[in-house]
Amino acid sequence: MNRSNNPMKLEKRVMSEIKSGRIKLRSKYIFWAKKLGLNSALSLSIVLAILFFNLVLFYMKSTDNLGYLSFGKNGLLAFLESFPYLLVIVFLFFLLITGYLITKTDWSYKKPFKYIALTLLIIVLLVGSALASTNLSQRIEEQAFINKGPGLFFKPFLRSGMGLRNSGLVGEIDEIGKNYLIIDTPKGKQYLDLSQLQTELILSEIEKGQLVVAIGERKDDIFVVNEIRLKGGNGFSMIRRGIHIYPERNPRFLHMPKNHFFRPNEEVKKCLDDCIEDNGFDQSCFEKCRPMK
Amino acid sequence: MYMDPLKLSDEQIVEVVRVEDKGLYSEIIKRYQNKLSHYLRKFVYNPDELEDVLQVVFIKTYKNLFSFNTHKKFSSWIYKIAHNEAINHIKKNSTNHQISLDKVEYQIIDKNIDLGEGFDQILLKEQIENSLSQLKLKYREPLILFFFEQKSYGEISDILRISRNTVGTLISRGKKMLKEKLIINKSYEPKQ
Repeated sequence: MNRSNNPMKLEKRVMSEIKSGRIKLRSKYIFWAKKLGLNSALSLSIVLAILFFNLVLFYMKSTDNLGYLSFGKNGLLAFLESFPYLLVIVFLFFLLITGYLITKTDWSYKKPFKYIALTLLIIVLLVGSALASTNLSQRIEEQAFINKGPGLFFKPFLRSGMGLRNSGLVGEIDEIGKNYLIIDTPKGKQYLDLSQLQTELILSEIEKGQLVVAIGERKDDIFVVNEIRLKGGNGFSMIRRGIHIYPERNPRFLHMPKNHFFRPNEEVKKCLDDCIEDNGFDQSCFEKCRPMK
Repeated sequence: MYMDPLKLSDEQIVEVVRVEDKGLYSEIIKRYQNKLSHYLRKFVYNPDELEDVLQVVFIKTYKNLFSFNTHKKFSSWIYKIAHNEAINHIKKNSTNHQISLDKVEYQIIDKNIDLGEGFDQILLKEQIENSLSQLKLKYREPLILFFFEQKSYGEISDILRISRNTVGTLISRGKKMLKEKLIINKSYEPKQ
């Protein structure tokens, strides 16, 4: 039977299903809840996209990341090593989620997606940049590293800001020796071998407490420096806080990875000094004087 | 209070069905059965399947009546549901069939595409059906809605959820592509 030749039958079939109660109207509350859920998810993803963009800017500004670019192409490796990949990935993820959710709401109704996407991007970038001038990111960072408050959630994204690099280093000068420096970093003391330095560093001009940024190569406990610069001003604020504030306020902050840093006591320092005096600046001195060994 | 369904707009009927009289939904079916059947025929070629799809459209429309904003146009909304069901059907049944046009429809295309001389009017209907079937869905949909369903750019924009400008672009490109296909198909036509 060709059913389409009988329009009355279709009407009867549908109406009998409705009248029998087998097909029911979906409650208006379901649609309200759906709309509310969608709009809430959209608002949340916009807020998170803005927040993560703000954190990307903050990270680049307050860690060593951009500092390495002052060495030109030689600092590129250290820049790439310290780049906030996780933050950028999460930011892009929320941006995509926002774009997707917008297409599901009435916001995008009959508007070309490319314009919506462009508008969204501009809003996120503008608001994110504006937020960067507030102290919001710093508060998040403080909560993350002191292990208190909701900022703790962001710790995995900010941790690499004070992480170890194999090709770059930033810290505050603690001790100046012949052909070497000892600097404070958020992870503890670091020994810098200056014997391979490609540019001249006038040791008489540098002072304890100054901030230095260096590129080179890590060889276990020693960082062999190729180029080094003094950095004045208020840069590297996260690193400074990592050196001075967090170790005092969070006893677990200085949990160090094995075999990279240690905090020498007077006995260890004397041992190192004697060894360096006798043998020059060498890894064997660290092996010999390392307290845990 | 008795209401004459014929005097009510689609949107008013929806409001009544939602709160008072479910039976009035039959008026919606009466008003849209032929229109939607005509539209869906361009995507669903088997008459039995066509009626199944049409039934699903009316059931889905009824179930979701509370999600319809009565300040908007009901016809665009129900066409949108029909459009979605047609797409679902095409995805499930990927075999390529040929659209079947009635006399008035192929004349509309003939008139609007301006093919010029040299086309055999007897073969033209078959050629248009063939070329339209080959056209990408993206272009076919707005062409069908514009020429055969007599929908305005605004309504097509509502149904397909794209901007008016995009509707205009797709129709213009679709017409051009259809014309090119017709010319190509003609040049391969065996000479008698």
